[in-house]
Amino acid sequence: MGAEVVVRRSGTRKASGGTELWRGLRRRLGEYSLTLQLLLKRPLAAAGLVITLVYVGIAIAASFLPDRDVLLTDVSNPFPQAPWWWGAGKAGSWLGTTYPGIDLATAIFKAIRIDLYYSTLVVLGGALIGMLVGLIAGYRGGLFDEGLMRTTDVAYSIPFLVFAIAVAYVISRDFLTLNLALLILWWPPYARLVRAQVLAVKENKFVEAARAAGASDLRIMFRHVLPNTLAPVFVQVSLDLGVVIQIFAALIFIGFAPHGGYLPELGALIFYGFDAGATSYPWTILFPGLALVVFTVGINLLGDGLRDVLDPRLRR
Amino acid sequence: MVRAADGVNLEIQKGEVLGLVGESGCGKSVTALSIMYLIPSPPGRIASGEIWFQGVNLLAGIQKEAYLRKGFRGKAKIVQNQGLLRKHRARMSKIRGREMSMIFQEPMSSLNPVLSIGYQIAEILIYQRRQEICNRLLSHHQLNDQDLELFREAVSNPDATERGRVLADFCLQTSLPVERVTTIIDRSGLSFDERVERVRRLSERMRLRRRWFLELVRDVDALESEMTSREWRVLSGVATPEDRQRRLAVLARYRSRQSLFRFLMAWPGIRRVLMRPIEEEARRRVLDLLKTVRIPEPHKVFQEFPHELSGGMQQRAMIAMALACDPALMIADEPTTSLDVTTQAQILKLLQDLRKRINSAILYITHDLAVIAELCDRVAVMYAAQIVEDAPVADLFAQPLHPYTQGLLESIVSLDKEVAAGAPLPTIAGTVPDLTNPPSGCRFHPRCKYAFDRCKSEEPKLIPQGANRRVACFLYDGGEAHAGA
Repeated sequence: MGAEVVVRRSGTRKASGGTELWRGLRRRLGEYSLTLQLLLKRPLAAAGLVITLVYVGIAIAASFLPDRDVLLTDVSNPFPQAPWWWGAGKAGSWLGTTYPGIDLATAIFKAIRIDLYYSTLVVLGGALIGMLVGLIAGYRGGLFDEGLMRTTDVAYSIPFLVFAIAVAYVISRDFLTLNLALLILWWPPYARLVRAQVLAVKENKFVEAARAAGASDLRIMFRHVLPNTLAPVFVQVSLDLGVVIQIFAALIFIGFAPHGGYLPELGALIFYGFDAGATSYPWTILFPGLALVVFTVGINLLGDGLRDVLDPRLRR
Repeated sequence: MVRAADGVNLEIQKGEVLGLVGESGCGKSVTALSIMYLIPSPPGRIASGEIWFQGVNLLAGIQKEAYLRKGFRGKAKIVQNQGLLRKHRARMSKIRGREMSMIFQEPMSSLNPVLSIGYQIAEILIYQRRQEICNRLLSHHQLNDQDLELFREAVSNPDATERGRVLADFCLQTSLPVERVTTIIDRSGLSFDERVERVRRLSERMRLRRRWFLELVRDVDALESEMTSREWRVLSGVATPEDRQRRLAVLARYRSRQSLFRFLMAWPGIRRVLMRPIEEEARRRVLDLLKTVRIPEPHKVFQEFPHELSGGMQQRAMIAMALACDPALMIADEPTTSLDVTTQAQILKLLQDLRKRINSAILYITHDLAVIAELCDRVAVMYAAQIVEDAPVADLFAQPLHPYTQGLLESIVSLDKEVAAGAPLPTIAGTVPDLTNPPSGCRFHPRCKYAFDRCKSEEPKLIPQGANRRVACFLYDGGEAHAGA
């Protein structure tokens, strides 16, 4: 299998020209394609990848919809109606409608866009902060390490749900505030993860070799140590995306939604269905809930697959 | 406290290969790391000593870096002056990779697994030898008649695809951007001479801009290294007050330039465009280096990652890295130990050939005396953190003086040596002593068959024997006859 990859690479090399950057990119793409091939060999991971890609596709497509952040309500017919295939449903409506006359199919499309956008913001932001903190703490050691890691412990000990609620109460109930509140508490696991990796990586001979070649500390940190710690961070990011979407939906569900209007957000959609009477109109919570669960399962499968695939013993 | 290298006194001339031998745990690697100032600190520390390198004492800046202080509950505690150490480290990192380099024992773990081989070597060139690269680039192309001929062809050729090809050739030769030249050609209402004039002006502008940038980069580089060496000269006490004044002037000039340089660096677009020739020049040099260390298909290896290469190839890449900066001193810390025998022979052959081509001094650390015999000019034998014998290779093998050296030579397995069937291989009885508590007197005396009373109480100094060899053994004190040999 490895041989196959190498042959294909050397094939592309002949055509390659251009700058250092482009050559490097080609190599990187080669590595990624190896990851992809290994990933596709596992049915569950492949399923996770497909689900994730479908959701990302939906999110991108939804940003081309007119009024992408606004839910259009049909006030003339506010009570929930079943989809056409449910039996006696509304013609032309695939997932039915929820109170007050919101078409669920469009609403879920828009909701996925918003949910994915904000959870990515939280997770990537948290990962970046955590990586920086972990890298500095692990590499410098000593008092830096103590100080940063104790700060991390303090941040870790604050329950993020309660903190987000408190912040939303005090400052304002909008998406950005909620997300920043989550972001502030989302980096500690990454800091610990990266620090542990850095502690292992910095003992390697190649770090000493880089130092013997005259590289400065910053260069060693960012060029030589950091890339070696990224694999577990990728895994953690993909696992966290599902978690943050759930937390976000939960916060909106219990009422930390921005005031005014109806929101295209999965938690909010579930809440509207719940409010209208979920026992009479089960589809109103079934479909948004399903959208949430399927995404969480998909991204978790992908994360688990990545964890296996990025294992260096499997690659080398 | 362990004194892992204690009173080591070595001297390497330019172009010389000095072998450093001894059993494991004798402090060979620690000596090498001390020279590079790579001792992991804490816990390691260079307590005292001098390292004179090209007329400058490298340890001059840190003589008072540590002092004792009463710590918690009156316990004595060694405190280090971190500011001083940081400055010293910064100075050393200019020396490392520019003037000194090192080849490590295990190539697999000494190469970064996530960076390509080419990048790792080019990095050294770009960041440590930028001056040299800039110098090469500065003697860059100037438009001449031949180019103008090509340009005429590019303008007058009726076939569009042919014209594109010629144009590409022209741009490659003169390193002008294709789009700009195309605009000049496509603009209507211009005579040929006017077009030529415009191209000439474009080329001149590009040249000026590039020259400006490259000179800036090169000068900063040169000033930096001038500054460090000057600083060291002052610290070593070699410099005069006038020298100190000049140093301040250089510093001021450097600072003013540096701010300009920083400003330039903050302009990433320009920087990327202008760094590209430097990167490409570095790439060309890396390919040359890979050829020098006899790596087949250097273009392929340039893009490969360490795990895609065999051990021998990895070690060659390491050697290329060490050669990249054209060092004055190269330290090889058991470079062939982790390789199999045939690869070992190839690497040794390579090193032998290289030492004729480059004029750097090599400190070759090994525990294999056969390698020493092959490669080195002089040998220093280390035992328990001290040098016990220092001699030219031929003399050492012909007549080892120190009992430890004799023991080492006797324990070599050789086809020429007659060993009675069933007899055990000769070894040196005992093991290297624990350095936390070294034996009194001569450190070798518990294992030495010639030991007498004086060995137990008094520590032997290195005693000159003949023109250029020294030995630390009382057997040779006061012109006594050679024992043993």
